[in-house]
Amino acid sequence: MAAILLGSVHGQQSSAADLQNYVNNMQQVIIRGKITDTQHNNLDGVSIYYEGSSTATKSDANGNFQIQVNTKTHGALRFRLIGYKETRLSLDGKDFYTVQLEPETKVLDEIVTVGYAREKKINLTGAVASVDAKVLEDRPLTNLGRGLQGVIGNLTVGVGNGAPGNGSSFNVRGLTSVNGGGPLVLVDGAQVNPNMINPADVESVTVLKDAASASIYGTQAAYGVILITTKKGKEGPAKVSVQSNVSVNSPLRVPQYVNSWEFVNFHNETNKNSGGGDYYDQNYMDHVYAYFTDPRHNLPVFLDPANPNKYLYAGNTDWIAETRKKTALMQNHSVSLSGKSDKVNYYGSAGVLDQGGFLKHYDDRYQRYNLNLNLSAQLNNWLEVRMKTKYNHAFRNTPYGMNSFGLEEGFYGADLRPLMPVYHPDGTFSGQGSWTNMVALQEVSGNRKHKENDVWAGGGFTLTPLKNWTVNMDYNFNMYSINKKYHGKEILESTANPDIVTVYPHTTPSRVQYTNDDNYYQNVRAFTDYALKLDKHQFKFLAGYDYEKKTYRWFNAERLNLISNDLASLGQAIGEKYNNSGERANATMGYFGRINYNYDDRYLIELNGRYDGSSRFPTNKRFVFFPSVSGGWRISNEAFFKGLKTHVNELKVRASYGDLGSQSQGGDYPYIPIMSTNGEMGYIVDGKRITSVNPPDLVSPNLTWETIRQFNFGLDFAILNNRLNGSFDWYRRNTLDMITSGTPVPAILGTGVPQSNAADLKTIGWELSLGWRDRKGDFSYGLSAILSDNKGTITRYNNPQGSIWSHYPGKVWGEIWGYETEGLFQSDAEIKEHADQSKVYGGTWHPGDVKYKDLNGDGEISEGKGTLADHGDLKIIGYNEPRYAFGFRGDMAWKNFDFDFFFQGIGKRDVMPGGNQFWGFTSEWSVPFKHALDAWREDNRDAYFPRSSYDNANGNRKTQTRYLQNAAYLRLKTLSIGYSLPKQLLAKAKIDRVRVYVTAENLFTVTSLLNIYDPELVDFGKPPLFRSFSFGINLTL
Amino acid sequence: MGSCKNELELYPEDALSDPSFWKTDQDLELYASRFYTNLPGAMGPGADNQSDWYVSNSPNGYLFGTSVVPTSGGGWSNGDWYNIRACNYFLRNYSRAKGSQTKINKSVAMVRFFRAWEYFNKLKYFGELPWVNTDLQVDAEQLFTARDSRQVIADSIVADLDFAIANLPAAKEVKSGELHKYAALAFKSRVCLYEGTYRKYRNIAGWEQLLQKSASASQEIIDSKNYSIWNNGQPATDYTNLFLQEDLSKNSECIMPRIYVPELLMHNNTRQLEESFTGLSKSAVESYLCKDGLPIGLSAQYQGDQLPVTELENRDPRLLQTIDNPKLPFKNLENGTIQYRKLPMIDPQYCTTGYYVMKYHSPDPAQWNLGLSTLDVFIFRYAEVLLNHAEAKAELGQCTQAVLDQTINPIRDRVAVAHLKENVGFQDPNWPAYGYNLGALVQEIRRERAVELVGEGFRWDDLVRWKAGKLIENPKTVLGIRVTDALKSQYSSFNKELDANGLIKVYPQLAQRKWNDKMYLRPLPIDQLTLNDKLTQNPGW
Repeated sequence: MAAILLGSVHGQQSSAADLQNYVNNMQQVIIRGKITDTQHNNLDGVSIYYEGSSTATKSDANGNFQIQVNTKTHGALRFRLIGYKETRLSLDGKDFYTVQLEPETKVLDEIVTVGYAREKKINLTGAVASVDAKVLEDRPLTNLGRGLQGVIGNLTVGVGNGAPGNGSSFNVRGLTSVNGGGPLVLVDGAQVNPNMINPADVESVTVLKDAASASIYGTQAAYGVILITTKKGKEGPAKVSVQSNVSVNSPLRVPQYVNSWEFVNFHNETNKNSGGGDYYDQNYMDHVYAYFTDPRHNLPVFLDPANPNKYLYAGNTDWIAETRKKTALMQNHSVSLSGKSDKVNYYGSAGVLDQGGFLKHYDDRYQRYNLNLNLSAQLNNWLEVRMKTKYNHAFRNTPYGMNSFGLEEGFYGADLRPLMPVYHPDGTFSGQGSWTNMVALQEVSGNRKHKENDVWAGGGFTLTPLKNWTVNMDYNFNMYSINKKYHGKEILESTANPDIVTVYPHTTPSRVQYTNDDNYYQNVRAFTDYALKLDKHQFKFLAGYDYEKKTYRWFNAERLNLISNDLASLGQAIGEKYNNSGERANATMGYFGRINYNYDDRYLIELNGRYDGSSRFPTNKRFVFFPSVSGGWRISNEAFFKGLKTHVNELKVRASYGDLGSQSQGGDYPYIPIMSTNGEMGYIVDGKRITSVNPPDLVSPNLTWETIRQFNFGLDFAILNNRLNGSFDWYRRNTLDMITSGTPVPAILGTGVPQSNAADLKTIGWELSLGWRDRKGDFSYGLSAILSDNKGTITRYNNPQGSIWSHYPGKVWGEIWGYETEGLFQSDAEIKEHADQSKVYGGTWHPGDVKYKDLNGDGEISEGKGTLADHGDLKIIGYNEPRYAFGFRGDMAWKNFDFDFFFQGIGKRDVMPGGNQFWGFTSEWSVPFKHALDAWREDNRDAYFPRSSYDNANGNRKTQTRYLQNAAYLRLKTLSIGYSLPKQLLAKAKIDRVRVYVTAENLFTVTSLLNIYDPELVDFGKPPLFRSFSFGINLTL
Repeated sequence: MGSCKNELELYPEDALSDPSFWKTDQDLELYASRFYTNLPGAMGPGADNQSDWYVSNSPNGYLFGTSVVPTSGGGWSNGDWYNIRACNYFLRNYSRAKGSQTKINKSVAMVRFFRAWEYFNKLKYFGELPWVNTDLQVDAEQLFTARDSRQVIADSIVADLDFAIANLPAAKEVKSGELHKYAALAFKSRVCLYEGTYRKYRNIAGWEQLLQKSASASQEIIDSKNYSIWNNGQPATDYTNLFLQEDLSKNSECIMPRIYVPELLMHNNTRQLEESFTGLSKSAVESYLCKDGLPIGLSAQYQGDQLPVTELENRDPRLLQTIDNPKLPFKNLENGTIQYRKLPMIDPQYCTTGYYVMKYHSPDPAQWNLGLSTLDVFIFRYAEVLLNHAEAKAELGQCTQAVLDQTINPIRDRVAVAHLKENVGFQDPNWPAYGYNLGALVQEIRRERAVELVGEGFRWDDLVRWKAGKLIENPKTVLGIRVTDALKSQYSSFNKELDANGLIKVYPQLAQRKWNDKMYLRPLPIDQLTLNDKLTQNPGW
């Protein structure tokens, strides 16, 4: 934010020009002065404001300034410069003032938003981290989450995939519960979906990590709280700020399929290895070869000798190139108006994001519009009223694909054989029902359109009956609806015989489907606080109540057989009708209280308590009390520390301990035995499909809250003249009474074991953050780094047999059980000599198959009983959980230039890939990528992959050390260079500031992961993440 | 919106729950109907892939001995026992409902039929099983008991079926598609024949009574005169057309149909059969008699297999109506012409052996559309009941000419093949070597069963109950048509490997299959043996 309002404009002329303006406007007094830092260096570009007016100026290169005021004896000036504390100067009749600005102790003096209060960071006792809008600015962000990746220790952001509009997910401090569970995300106190808001509206983000700081948010805060505060009007005249960014995105990893000639040969080889003969006969091979070597004089099809109605395909199509664009355009614009006049504080903004996808034959698109208005008014000295409204609207458009497709299909297809051309010689789409023609799906399959409307209205007031006593009440209301319309068209399917035209697979009958979700959320929150100061004793008391209710209602209506393939409407179809609906609700309620005690800014203590209830539990198990306590000691404020204070500016230790509850597991009614129904069973009686009722699952009547108990130890410090600051936190989080299936019983039970509060786990972790900020003349810079880690272990679980495929006490989260690989067999003799592998695969083992190590020396390779006591030759070969997450950020400014970079990564993670994308042929339908060609053959004995076959797929492709991948990575997330236009150019147009910049995102990645995978998205079914180059402009009036 | 704690009392507004159900006899019928979808539907080309009659493109792992004891699942998971639990849950609760006793009994009969259906499938798969007759709770001791004997399981299945037979309405009184008395009788004849022969060939007591029960059940169906072999006097097409019916509910041979209706519910049989990835084996094709009722080794009518078309000449007309040949319409084109195919299809995607099975395949392009086939299929077919009857009688030594004339011979009449005689009248040098002595009549009844029911999913069960696993060791069970040089030249290219006699080797790289007796039963998964130490593994695994 600061970077928008302020800038380093220098030069005598601009000050002179400013002065001229003022002189022209009114006849008033001029005051002069000089500004330096504490080391007496002259400071230029300091913004100087005259309080209570719109008058402002800046200091010149020598630190000199002059400003017009109404009177020399009253009023005040304010001095602002990035990297320095804002300083206020009361006028006392002098004509000339010398002003010294102190460097800002960025982190420690900062005021951060915590539960129902704003507090100096240095006085916090819990584990709290926060960042301001700086990390979000000037980046081509599709959502807020992507901007928060790697900036806060142990705040893990799942970036999802590269589909337009795909949202982010959040986790605080690692493993939460075997049931999952994430942090509570609040935008200005309400549970707004952070993926729906405009990142440009965000003022700050605070993460409450430990139980003590999160506890005040109670029922849903067990796994941390992310508080997002949006911008409000700032003191001073009205400001208009415009931000515009256009970026060119390109997919990060583009896999490469084998070409046609490689494909047919590899297919034949694999079919033979699998016990069959050649898959393609000589005639077929000849056609493929002819087209492969000379596409100009040969056709990619030929008539099937056995069926003259059909073509056989002999083309050489690069389906990636045919279906995907290399680049897509994205635009992001927002404009805001903000200010504070008299008693009214206002911020209004409008933003638009328009993101194009990578499909070549469809205008795949996500658009989001945001309107935002924050207003507050101090009506008198005892009443403030406020109002917040947001309207978020998003629109998503993708091709229909097939009936089984979802919105975010990759449109890569698993069976895109290079042999199939896109078109038949007569121009019709190829496919003939046997293969999926992805070009046809993009072009003529219809569409899936989503519209989201997200309306937030909230209001509240603060009463101040007495000094230091406030009463607050807020109400938030949200109406969220998502309206989906799917239009599935029939695609005509051509063969070699023009008389045989049928309909393309899975696209028939044509259909239209509407789905409407109508969700409501309301939240009432009231609290009162009172502050008391008795000499060196400071107390703060807070007590409150909150209630939240969410109701969900949805219905869908579908009708088959459109009268016209191109007209999708329920009334314009003549076929079967299907519809369904649902209605659910859940609610939580809590009473909370807090006491803060601060003795002389040295000893800090905080007590929290909550009494929480949830509709998800039976009446007698509904309410639970959760307490927490935290304390801090500001050692640097002690008398004995005085001598050290010049070296160590701040030092604080803190500790916290507390319980929180979690209730979000097992659906909305986990204790009620529900009998589900199915209205359309696949069986016809008397000409109608039958309806059915299912037996209820077993439920436990004793379900109650999961308890999350967290201990936190922290240290904050600032040294070297406040230039280096940092904090370190260590924590232990025990998740107790996790709701899991009870003790496993034999399968003849015939249903899942009912859930009970039967498991515990422990997560231990730490996070370190360091920041450095300094300035040398024109050059100012900052560096910051975070490093964090956590590790989860199951400590109690119902697994009396000790099965390694289930959870068990002592299991480290993410562990991967597998075989140790010795290599590939090179001869039959070697197989004979080796331990018996028939329990892994009962068929014949051949040279080129995988050789597993007989770890327990019993002469056979097996998984034993699959228990801890007898796991045969299996061992833990790695861990899938990411460890050692880090981020490293730097920003620099020199004269009118600024420069930013940001690295982010994961230090340790193992991944066992699978599927035909990794292995090549897993069935005759697979189409391998190029890397799979490195399979064992007589003439390729040191191959990476085993002999390619379908029959021993299970044996060779066990989870094992040889194919385990190291998914650690380092990625340059952001690199940005900006330039602010000189002030003298802008003065005449009365423009405060113009900055232009270019930013590159995801510029390069260092990883040893197999190059077909993205370390952030090891999944081919989903659209890839992208690299982007963007150009942007910020303008402030 | 007060602080009242009732704000947290929320109940689902879109779902039934146990206390609110079980009110009327309609509730019972609604619940009992849920099991219909477990009945077989259109089976596609693979129903008999795991047998000596079919050769699939991917070698059947089980028959090649590649299967291992699974870690979990393998047919014995929570989900696999779900339907039995669902039946037992009904049987414990149905008496809460009020209404007509006849209607209540009908629903109970349906549920007991379906419990028998589930248990029969499990009996075939695993042999001994725990008999569970209530919806167990997690603390039930019965969860940890040993398996009950086959006798206990079979007796319980028969008891369920007897209740169903006694309480289900007659066929004429139900809506099309509904379960009725004669369907339950047909199932009983199948179950008792299975268990009777299974025991007979393993010297387990009680087989005579079971075969007697099978014969009585089929006799009751025959005596009802509700059903007859569908015979329009067109021996060259009746068999093929029987499986291409839009509406089987009025068909004289259909005891119970699975009904498909355009748009409402459709299947994919025709397209799947065309892209079958399998084919009939040489040994299967050689099993077909000639029209004179003699096997190819004896009949003067047999023309030899030098050419695919001669091999089919003068044979049991079901052969010409089962596999693709130049006389069987392959596709009825939109311009009115009918397409036939001159050469046998040999391609892994379509047919592995050259014997391309066209039973249930419709030449109508509309039926070929993906997922748009609307032809009904049989759940219970009268011909099976007749074959069950003849076999049970023969195994009991009670199969007279009168029995044959009531069972096998009407089936043969449809395709105009000479009648089977009580004394058979020939010794086929190519009779399958079952590994035990088998009378000529039972040999011929088994042949008739295989031929008539090809592709309907019976073959593996038959091999198991006959203790006939060794048949898969016959090399001809993985070979295809004979390809002479003359035939080869008619293909634009030909690259299949042939054996010494010129027969297509479907698996040129694989050694001959070896039968292992453990394969008669499936292995129990390791996790279940660990959870309940009273469970024992099946022999050999």
